Amino acid sequence: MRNVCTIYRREISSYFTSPIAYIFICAFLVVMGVFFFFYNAFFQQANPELRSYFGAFPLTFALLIPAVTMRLWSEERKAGTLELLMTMPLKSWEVVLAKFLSGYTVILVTLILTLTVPLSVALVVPLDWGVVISSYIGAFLLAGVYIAIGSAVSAFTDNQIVALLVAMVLLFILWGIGFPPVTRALDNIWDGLGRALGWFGSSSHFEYFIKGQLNWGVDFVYAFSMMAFFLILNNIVVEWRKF
Amino acid sequence: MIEVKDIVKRYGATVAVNHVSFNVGKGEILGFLGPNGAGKSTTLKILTCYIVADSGSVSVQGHDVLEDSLEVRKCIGYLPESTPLYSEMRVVDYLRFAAKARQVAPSQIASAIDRVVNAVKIERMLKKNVGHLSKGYRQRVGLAQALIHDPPILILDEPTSGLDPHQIIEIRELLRDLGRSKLVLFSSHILQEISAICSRIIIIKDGRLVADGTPTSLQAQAADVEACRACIDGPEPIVKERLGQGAGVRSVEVVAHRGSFNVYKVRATKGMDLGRNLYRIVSENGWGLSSLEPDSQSLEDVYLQLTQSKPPALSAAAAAG
Repeated sequence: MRNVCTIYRREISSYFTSPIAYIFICAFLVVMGVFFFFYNAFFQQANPELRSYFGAFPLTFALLIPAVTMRLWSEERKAGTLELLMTMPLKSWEVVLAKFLSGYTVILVTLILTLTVPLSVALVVPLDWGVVISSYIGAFLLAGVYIAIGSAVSAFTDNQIVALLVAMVLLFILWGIGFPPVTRALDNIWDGLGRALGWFGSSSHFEYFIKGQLNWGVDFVYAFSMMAFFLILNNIVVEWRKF
Repeated sequence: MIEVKDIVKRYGATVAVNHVSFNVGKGEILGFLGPNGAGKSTTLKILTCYIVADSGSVSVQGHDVLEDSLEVRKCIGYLPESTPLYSEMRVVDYLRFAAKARQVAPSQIASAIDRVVNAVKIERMLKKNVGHLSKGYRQRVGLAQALIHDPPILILDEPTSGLDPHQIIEIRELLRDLGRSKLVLFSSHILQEISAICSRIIIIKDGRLVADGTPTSLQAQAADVEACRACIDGPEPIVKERLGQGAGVRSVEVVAHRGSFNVYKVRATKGMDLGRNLYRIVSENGWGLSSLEPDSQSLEDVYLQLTQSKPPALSAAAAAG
């Protein structure tokens, strides 16, 4: 664990000494703000609630999280520092985990900053805090899945732009296949296909969280198994590079 | 301390390392010499567990690189080619990170940093960003991180490339010092550097080990060759061509220019009466001759002889990246 902590601290300092973390946080808050005021049109709602605001998380994450994860491995591969890192007495899973957690921390900071929206809304209208909390739990888990995917993609290439674009496309597809119209369309092609693929879709699981439902058996299993799968894949890619 | 047995590494169709074997013991300064792309870096990457050989085995202090990779990495201090460092970090933070990552006990970190900072003389640079350092200081920071855990083995890939002559001398002196207590293994494509400080030289060419020995024993390998220096006034391409046709001549090169005269270095098989032959060729062609003298065979000749027979495989260099 000491090694994970060492690498984690280096990664975090790298995020916050470069502009990348700040740019990400600002971009995220701006995009979510636009959603809140325009798409969600909060002040025009007869019965104000934040569901569609929270509903914007999966797509915003899909567009912006790759910008956080793209550097995790690609930058080190390009600069050659990966060679130094991987010849230090560290296990590869320790490096994978530390990098994942550092990206996760950037998202956590961002999520904490978005709390200003529900807090300020609560000043005007009474909010269902249970829904807010479950939405945040959902957003946090969703971010974990996306970071694991972004990090694994980054391990494949030494080009950060490639890592960014491929991760964006993958996350967009992952968002899309859980989207009800897409599920229905796929079910029309072959019955069951849409629902089967839909299980992997991020938005269908996230729906339950923003409705205030915490389904331990399904949505948590989904999030943790996706994270585990992509972290293991990430580790395999890192180890595979040796051959 | 390091035993390499018959390692092979292929990148696609290119064989970067081709059945290389050698042993190195404590207190040796081993120079890895070869043209660019000969497979030096690939071999060092295999020793440091960055990549895995396709076949063969490597053990470092009794630990196998595949089964006991962590132990191997603990006893090696490694500086890869072109000194990759985290440029956004301050030197002191970087060294602290390296100390922790290289498993220095928390209570020892401060003294370990002091020790390496003194050894490579970077006291004044501690608060600077690694990215703002000059190439020479970058190299020293790279050495400092490799030394931070006081490893018994130090492996450096082209540690002096891109440095100015003063810096090269400093690094050499440092390596010579370190060689007293550690096994130092470093690669270079510059012969003078290796012959200046190494107790042993391994020459690699096209992935094959072509020579292994002390500088003196390698020199002896050149015993069947003799060389002459001739200062000749004549059209260079024709002179080269005619001299090259002389009996037993292996190579002709221009080593200096003196006005209209060029100094040619000619190597030929011993016992073929090289001096007499050269004089005959010069007089037959009516060129001017201002001097003709035998030239002692240097290590450079051995090196050229061993590595010049055909151009190095460029694809191996590209693959080894």
